[in-house]
Amino acid sequence: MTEDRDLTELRRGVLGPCVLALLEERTRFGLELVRDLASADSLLTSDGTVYPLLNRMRDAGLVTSEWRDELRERPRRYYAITAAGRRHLAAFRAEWPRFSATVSEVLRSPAFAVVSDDR
Amino acid sequence: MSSVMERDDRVRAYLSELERELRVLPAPQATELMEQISAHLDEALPRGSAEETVAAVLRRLGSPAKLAAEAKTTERLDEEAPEIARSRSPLRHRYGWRGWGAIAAGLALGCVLTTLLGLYIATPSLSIGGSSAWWYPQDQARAVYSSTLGAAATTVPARRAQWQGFVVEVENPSSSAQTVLGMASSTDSPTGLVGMANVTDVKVGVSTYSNYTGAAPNFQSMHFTTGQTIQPGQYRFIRVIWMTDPCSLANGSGLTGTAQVNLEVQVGWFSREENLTLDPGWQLSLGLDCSG
Repeated sequence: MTEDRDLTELRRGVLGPCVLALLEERTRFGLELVRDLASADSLLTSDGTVYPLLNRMRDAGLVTSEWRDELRERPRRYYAITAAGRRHLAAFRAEWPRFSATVSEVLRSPAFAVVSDDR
Repeated sequence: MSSVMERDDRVRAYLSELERELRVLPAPQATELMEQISAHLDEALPRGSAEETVAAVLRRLGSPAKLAAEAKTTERLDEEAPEIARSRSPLRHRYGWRGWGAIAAGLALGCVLTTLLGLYIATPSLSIGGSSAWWYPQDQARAVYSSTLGAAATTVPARRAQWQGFVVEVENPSSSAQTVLGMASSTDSPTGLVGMANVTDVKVGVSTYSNYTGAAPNFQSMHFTTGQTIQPGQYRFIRVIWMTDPCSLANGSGLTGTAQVNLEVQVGWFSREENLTLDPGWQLSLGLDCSG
């Protein structure tokens, strides 16, 4: 159960930058964004959780949203990255390789294995 | 084109349960999330979707409880620290006799309030401006404008068990800041939309900024919340949305609508009901088969 919670927290932490990376490429509507994220293995546990995240990012000024009905079929809410969102993504991109390498190193080290066995 | 909510019982049940679960959130957040999930389902489940597809899409969305918990997690991040909340405990627990001192000070303050009350009574209400539109693009596309004996109205088909609503410009013509707290409910008009029958869950939001430079305003790019303060002389937009149930329109005319919205508005330290006359009026026409 703890492992599940750890992974959930980990996903929650990286999902925002992943959303920004997709929106940096082009604007996307909700379901499109969800499908693109879901196609990346194990990134999404449930599709619905993307929407509260998008709302939080919108409130933080990282993305904007707009309803459009381009094909006159059904209105879609499109999301776009803002300048603040690009800066946020750039900062995360700069930090991520070092951070992930550090975590990988710690997870591989014998010292970490000993700590795990002691629990 | 009917929505998936009208076609599938499981989707309707899912959305009803989600709506119940989201009651823990502030109304604007809950409404927005309901709109997003409804749009998601409409898009993911085209007409004729197989039962397995419906089940799979709902499963992938996650349970309503989980979705609400996720939204609540987001909400909780913004909540105040517990120590701040504790500092708001009753005076008698925290200060003892100091609490009584505060009461005495409150009495003195009463004199000041009496003066302020006079100013409050003299403050003009918010007034409706010139720009308005149906909120949802599908309603904008179907709106019919009419004018009979000087009474103008815009009419759209009622969309069964779906959100509908409008956006109108408002101005604060007074010299005091005014904060829209929500719809004003009364015995005559429980929803705050005078004369409008068969709608529920009426919610009002105010745009966080005007975004209006004289060209046609882009309502969809605005963000609406409750508790927004409109400064003296400023323009904003208010969005009123509701859940429509056209299957029980009562007046027999096939129409229901409103030409007055009643708002609960805070002026200074007091709140009051303000009655805003809408021109044109906003009407729904019954045009759906309600037997299903």
